[in-house]
Amino acid sequence: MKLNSLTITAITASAILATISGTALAQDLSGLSFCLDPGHGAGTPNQGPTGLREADINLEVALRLKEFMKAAKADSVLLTRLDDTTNPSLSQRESIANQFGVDWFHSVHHNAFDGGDRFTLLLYEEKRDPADRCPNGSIRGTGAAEWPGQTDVTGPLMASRIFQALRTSNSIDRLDWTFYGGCNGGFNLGVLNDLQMPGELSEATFHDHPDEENKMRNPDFLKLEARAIFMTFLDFFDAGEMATGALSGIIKAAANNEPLSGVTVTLSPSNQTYQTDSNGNGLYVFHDLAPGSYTVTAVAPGFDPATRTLQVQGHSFAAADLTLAASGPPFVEATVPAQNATEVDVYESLAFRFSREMNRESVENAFTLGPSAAGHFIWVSDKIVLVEPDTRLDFDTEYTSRIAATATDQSGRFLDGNGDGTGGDSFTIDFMTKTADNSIPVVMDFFPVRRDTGVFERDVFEVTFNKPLDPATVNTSNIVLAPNSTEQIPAVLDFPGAATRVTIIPQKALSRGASYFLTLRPGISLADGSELGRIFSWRFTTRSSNVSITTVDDFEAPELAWGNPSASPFSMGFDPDSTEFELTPGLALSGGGAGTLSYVFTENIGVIQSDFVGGGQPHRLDAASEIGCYVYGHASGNQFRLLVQDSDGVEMLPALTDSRLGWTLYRHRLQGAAIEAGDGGNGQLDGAEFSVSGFRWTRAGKASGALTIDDIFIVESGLPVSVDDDQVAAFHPSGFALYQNYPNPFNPETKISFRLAPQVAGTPVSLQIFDLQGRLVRDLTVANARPGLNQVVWDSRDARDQKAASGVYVYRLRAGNSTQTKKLILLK
Amino acid sequence: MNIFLYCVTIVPFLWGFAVAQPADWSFGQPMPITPDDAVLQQPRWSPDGTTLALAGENYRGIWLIDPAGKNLRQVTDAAGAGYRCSWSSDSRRLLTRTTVYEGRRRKHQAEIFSVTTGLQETIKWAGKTIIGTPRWSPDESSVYLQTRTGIQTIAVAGDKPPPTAPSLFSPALIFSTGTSLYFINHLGRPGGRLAPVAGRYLNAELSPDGSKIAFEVVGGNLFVVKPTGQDLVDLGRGERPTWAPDSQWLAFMLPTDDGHRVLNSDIYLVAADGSGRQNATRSADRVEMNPAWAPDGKSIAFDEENSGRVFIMPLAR
Repeated sequence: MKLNSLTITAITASAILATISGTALAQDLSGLSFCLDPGHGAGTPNQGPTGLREADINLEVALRLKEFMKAAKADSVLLTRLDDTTNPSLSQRESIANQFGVDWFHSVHHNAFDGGDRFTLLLYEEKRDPADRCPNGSIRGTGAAEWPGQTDVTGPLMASRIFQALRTSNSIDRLDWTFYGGCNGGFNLGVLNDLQMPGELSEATFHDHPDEENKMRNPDFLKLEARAIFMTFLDFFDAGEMATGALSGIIKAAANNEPLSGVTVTLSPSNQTYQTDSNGNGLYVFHDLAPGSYTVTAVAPGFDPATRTLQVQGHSFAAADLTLAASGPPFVEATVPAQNATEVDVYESLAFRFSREMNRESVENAFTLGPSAAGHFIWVSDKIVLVEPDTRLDFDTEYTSRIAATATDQSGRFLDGNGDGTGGDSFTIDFMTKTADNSIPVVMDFFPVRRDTGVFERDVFEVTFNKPLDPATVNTSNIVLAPNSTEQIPAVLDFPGAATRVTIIPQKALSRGASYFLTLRPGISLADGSELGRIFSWRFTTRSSNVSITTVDDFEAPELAWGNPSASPFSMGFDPDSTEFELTPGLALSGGGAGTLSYVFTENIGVIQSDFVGGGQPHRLDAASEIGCYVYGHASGNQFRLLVQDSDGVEMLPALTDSRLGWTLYRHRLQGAAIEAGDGGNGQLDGAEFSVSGFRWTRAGKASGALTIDDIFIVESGLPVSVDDDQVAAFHPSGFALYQNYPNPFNPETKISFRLAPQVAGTPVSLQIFDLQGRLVRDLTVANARPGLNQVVWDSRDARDQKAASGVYVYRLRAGNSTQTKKLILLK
Repeated sequence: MNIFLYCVTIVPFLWGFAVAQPADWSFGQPMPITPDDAVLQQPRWSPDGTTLALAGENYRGIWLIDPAGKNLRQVTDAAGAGYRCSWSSDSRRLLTRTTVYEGRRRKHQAEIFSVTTGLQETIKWAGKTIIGTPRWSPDESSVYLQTRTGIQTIAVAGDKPPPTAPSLFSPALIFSTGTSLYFINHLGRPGGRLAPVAGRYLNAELSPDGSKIAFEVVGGNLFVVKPTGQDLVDLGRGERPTWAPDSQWLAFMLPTDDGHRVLNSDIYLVAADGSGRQNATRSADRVEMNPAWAPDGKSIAFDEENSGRVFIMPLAR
C-alpha cells in the first residue's frame, strides 16, 4: 500500500508516543522468523467500491505486522514484496519462505464478494490423501490440517482475534480444500500448499463492503488487524502478552446513524485526542493504552457531546461507539397536510417529521386531534410518525391537530413548537377535509379497520358505502381478501338487495397471527355506473393466541341434530305448524348446509327454543373459552342467543338483535359475558366443562320470518381439541388428532384412526360412540394406546352386542386433557 | 496432456555468449514414474543419472526412484528434507536441511543420507536457521551452511573426488543472499559477489561448466549472467531454472495464478542467449512444475501439481 494514498488521521503524536514505550515489555519472539506475504500486487485491481486496492491494504497490514514483530525481537521478518511495483507468483512467495527456512508463513488478504459481507475468514491447508479420490479423480481432502496442532490452532485463534479487533460480523476458520468446494473444484491455496513450514491466509474483512472500505482507508484501523495477528503469534508461541490494549469505536450521528467525520475524541485520563478522518467512517482508534478505566468523550460542532466510560485491558481490544445528538430542542420540520390545507382527503394519514429522533411515547401522549377520530400511530422512523385514522376522517370538517409541549426527543428535550429555538411550546396545524362526492361510491366505514390486530380468524368483514352499489360490480375481482400479492382468500360476498353494505365471508379460516390485505378496486360502481375511481387497500392482522377451534355443528350431516322447537318446553307464543328448524342449502358459509328457522310468533311474548341433540359433549371451560356461530338475519328486530349447559344447568349467552340483512358473526367469551340463567342455571358458568345445549329466538320485533345459522364453534385454549384433520396434520404432525372413520358410511365395520402426542400416551384413552341423543352406544376405550397412530375397529354393535340402528353417530376421543369428536354414519 | 513428438525450429541467433544454438527440439510423451497414490515432487537427478530424489508433500521426506519408475523407496521422512537436496558427485549421498521441533518451536539440522547404506549423519552446528540448503564443498570434504551471520564451513567424512573445473578459481557454488549472488570457487574460497539487476534473487543455478549463472528475480524475470557480471541476458518470465548438461540450454517453469490458486504451469526451454524459447509441455489441464534436466541431456523430469505425480519427458534435437 502506498502510504500517501491513504488519509493520515490526525493523532496527537506525543500522546501516542508517551504510551508506546509501554508496549511489548513482556513480548519475546526471539528465535523465531516469519515470512509475511502481502497478497496480490502490481497489476491486480481488486478494488473496493471507491477504488481502494486490496494489494495496498494487504501491504499496509503486513508492514505494520512486521513492526510489531520486530519490536518483539523476532529473528527475521521477511516480506514477499516490499512495495506495489511487483506481483510475485504464488510459487515465488512460497520459495522465499522455503529458501529462508522461516518458522511461520502468513499471507495477508482481504475478501470480496457482493459488497454485503463483512466477516473474518481464516484459511489453512487441508491435508489430502492421494489414495482417496473424488469421483472426478481429484485428490480428496482428509478433513484434517496439513499442520495439525499448529495451523488448526492459530486459525481459529487468529480469526477470533481479528474479529475482536475489527469488529466484523463474524469469524470463521476453514480448511482450504473443503472451503473451496471439496470434490466440486476444491483446491489447496497456491501460496500454502508447497510450504515446508506452517502457514495460513487471513481474509480479515471485505474490502468491497462500503463501510469496511471506508475504515480500511485509515491506517490505524489496519494496524488493529496487524495487532490481532501479532497477538495470535504471541499466544501460540507462548511469547508473552502485550502489556497494552487497543480501543476503537465509531462515532455516528443520532439523526441518521451515519458515521461522522471531524469529531474530536478525547480520552481521559491519558488526555489523548483523535479526530475522525474524512473518509466517512467515523472511526477513532487508540493503540497502546495502559490497562485501566477510560472515559471517551466525543465532541463535534452542532452536536451535544457524548461520553462513555469503559475498561481497557492489556493484550485485548476494547470498543466504544458513541452517538451524537444534534444540539438544541426538537421541532417539527414538515407536516402533511400543511398548515391551513383544504380539500384534505379523509382517508389519508397525517404525517409529522421532526428535526431529530423523538421519544415515541411522549409524542403519542402529546398528540390530539379535534374533532376526535379513532386512529393509530405508525412510526416510519424515530423522526417520522404517521397518524392514520382507523377508518376515515369526517367529510367537510375543520380539524385541529396538536402536539403538546410535553413531547420530547430521546434526550428529554421538550418540543419547540413555535420554532423560536426554545423548547416547551406546542405545535398546531389546522386543516379542512374535502366534501364527500356523492356522485361516486364513497367508502364510509369498514371492518377490520386499518392495521387492526387480533382479528378473529373466522370473522366476517364488512365495507359500507354511501349509496347502493351496482351488484354486478360487487365480486371477488373488485373486493379482494389476500395475504399477499400472489394469493387470494376465497370468499363469499354477501350483498343482499340494494344494501350499501358488503359482507365478506372467508371460505376458510385465516391463518393465526398473519397479515392480510382487504382491497377495493376501482371497478366498484354505483347503479349509474359511477366508479369508485381509486384503490383502497388496508392491512389487518389476525390474533396469535394459542387457541384451537372446534366445530360443534357445521350443519353438513344428512340429519339435523337439533330438536323441533315444538318439543322444547320453553318454546311459547308461536305457531307450531308454521315454525320449523330444518337443514337448508344455499346460505352456507362452507359446504352445502345451514340450519334455517322459519317462524311465526303468535304472541308478543314469544320464545322459540331448539335443543341441540347432536352430541352435547363437554368442552373444557377456561378463560379463553368462546362460543359462536354465523347468523343470517333479516332485520326482524328479534333476538338470538346460544344456550350452554354447565355444571348446574342451562345458561343463556348474551342476545344478538337481528337488526340487519345478511350474515353476522355471533361470538362471545364465556367467562365475563352478561349471562342469564336458563333452566336450572344460575347466571354464570360454573365448573370445569360446558356443552352446547341449544339456541333461543325471542320476539322483540317482527312476528314472522326466517333466521339461518351455521358453523357453531367453540374456541378453547391450549392443545388443539378439535380442528380440521388437515390442520392437525400440518401443524401437529406428532400431536393429538382424531381422523375420519373409514369407510364412511359403513356396514358392518369401520376403522377409526387417531394419533396421540407423546405426552398423553400412556394415560387412559377413551374412544366412545354416542347416538345423537347423547346416549352412550359403545365404549371402545383403548387400554394400551401408543404415541403416534392408533386404529380401532367398530363392528357396529352396541354395549349389549346388538347391532346398532342405522343413523348418524358421534365418536369422541379423549386422552389426557385433549378431546375431539367426529360423526360417522351407519347404513343397513 | 496430449504431447506428441513435435519439432520447433529456432532461428540461430547470436546473443551474449555468441554461440549459435541449433534449435530443433522434439519432445516425447511425458510418462508418469511415480504411483498415483502418493504425492511426490521436485525431482533431482543423481549425477550418474540412475536415480531421482523426490520430495514428499510439503517437502516432508525424501524418496528415491529409478527413471523407469521402479524401485521407489523412502530415504527419510524428516520434515523439510526433500527441499532442494544435493547429491554428492558419486551419486551415493544426499545432503539436505531438515526441521526438528522442540515444542512449538523448530530448528534446522544439516544431514547427510547414504543412499546405498541408509546411514544418516547429522552435522553438528550451533545455529538455528539454515538459509537455503546445505551445499557440498567442491571437494566434498565439508559442507557449507548459509546462516544469518554468514556461511559456515563444517568438515565431513567422505570421498574427495578431484576437482574437474577448468580453473580452480572459477565458481564452484553459487548462493543467493537475497539481493546478491555469492560465489565459492573450486578451492573452497570466497569467489565474489554479484548484483547484476535490482531485486530479490531466487533459485540461482550455476551452469555445469561454470560459465554462466541462471537466476530469477522475485516478481520479475529469469536472467543469465556470466560470473564476471558481464553479458546479462533477460530470458523473460520464468522460474526454477535447470541447466542442460551442455550448459547451453535451460528449462524452467512458467506458472500463472490468480493470487489464490495456481491456474496453470508449463515447462519451457530457452537457450542461454535468450533464443529458442519454446513451450515443451503445452498442456491446458495440467500444472507442470519443477523441471530437472537429466545428466545425459535426453529427458526432463518434472512434477505435476494436480495429480501429485512425477513425469519424465524425453527430448532430443
